[in-house]
Amino acid sequence: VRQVSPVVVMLLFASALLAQAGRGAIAGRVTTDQDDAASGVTVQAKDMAGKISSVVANKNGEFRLTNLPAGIYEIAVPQMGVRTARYAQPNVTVEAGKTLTLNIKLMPNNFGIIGDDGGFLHIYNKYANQKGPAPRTRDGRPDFSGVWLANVDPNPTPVQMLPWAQQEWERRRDRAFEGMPTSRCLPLDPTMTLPFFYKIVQTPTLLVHLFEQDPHYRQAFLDGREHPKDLDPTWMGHTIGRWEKDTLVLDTVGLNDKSWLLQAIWLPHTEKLHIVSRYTRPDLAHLNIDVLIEDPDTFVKPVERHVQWLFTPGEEIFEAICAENNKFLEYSTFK
Amino acid sequence: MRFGWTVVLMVVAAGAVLAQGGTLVVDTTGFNDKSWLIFATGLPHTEMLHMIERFRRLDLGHLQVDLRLEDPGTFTKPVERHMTWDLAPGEEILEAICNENNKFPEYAGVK
Repeated sequence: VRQVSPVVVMLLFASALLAQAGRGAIAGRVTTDQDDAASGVTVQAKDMAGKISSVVANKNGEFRLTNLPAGIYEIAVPQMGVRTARYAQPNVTVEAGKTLTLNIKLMPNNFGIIGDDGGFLHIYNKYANQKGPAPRTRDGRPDFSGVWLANVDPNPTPVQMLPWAQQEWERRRDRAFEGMPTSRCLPLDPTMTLPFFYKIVQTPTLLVHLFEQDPHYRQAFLDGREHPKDLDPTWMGHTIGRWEKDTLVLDTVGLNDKSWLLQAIWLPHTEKLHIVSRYTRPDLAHLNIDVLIEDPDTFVKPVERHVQWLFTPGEEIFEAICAENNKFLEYSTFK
Repeated sequence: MRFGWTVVLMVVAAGAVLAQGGTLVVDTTGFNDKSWLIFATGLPHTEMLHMIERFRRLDLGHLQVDLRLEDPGTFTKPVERHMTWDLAPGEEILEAICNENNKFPEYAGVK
């Protein structure tokens, strides 16, 4: 009797199972616009009900999403840092028993500004596999101290703006975001969600964010004080925080209307802006931050962003003096 | 800045901190030669600058700061300054954005 190879049997068995269960797969390779393997990016398949299956691309940028019920999906690759823009392909059909090949080329996402290198993914992958519990401070609170690599919300929801704000935002977009505050060495986005490094210094009564962009620090007071009455509006505002069990809730008001909010979107806002950020550290490697951005004079409903920062204990924030050698205007697509 | 929008001079300043009894000794090197040192004095210096600060809290209200600046490329002997800082618990540092509205050149005695 001729023997059948066990591999062949397994393959037949596997494909029979796929067909039986009405399931299929999507596989392919993700590359950057410079044809480098986009190792470490997440590939998502969202079904019609909104359920997301995801997988991380391997060191060659290859991915395989298996066991997907036959149907129509949106395939997406969330933005990673400022290196790669979000990719989304709707109406991808998965057939039972078949593997669809889908190769994805990501586009750059920084409006032609320099700094467009592979550093983000390189550093992200270096720290992606840290395991362990979240450390605690001597007084028993979760400890958020250290250097973190921030990233944007992988699945940002659309922002609904009042007519004046929509008009102002479209004006900014049509002029390739000319005049954004950071291009003139003015402070960054007070929602603290830019996909760069932040360093957190935590004490029982104070939490400080340090960062490379102006103005380089943001204080959050944890000593029980309230927001002062009649605050003079500032770029970073006034932030107080309180613990709700293991969640630190930061509350910011007193903001001027000059900052542009959220990386690559650059929303306008008024002085009524109110930012509530909820920080939790589920494990050693991750800080989850849920940001609620309220401004009844700008947004139809509050804007939510859910970001995850990666602990990067071997990194350090650099001294960066924007006013000394600002190349932004020189390299901007809008001249 | 690794992913940012500007190319900047990167200064690696390493602050080595060593507590000696009740004194915190802060040691800083890795300076560029662009800063002007000491308020109202404006001293030049080289990249050999080495700064040693000794912090000691005398009592509730006072911090003793002993500063030593070494730079054999600039000073014939190290410069020392001895200062006492007053605790100001009801005050807060304010946001100051120099790039927004810099009046210094306009008001400076030398134009």
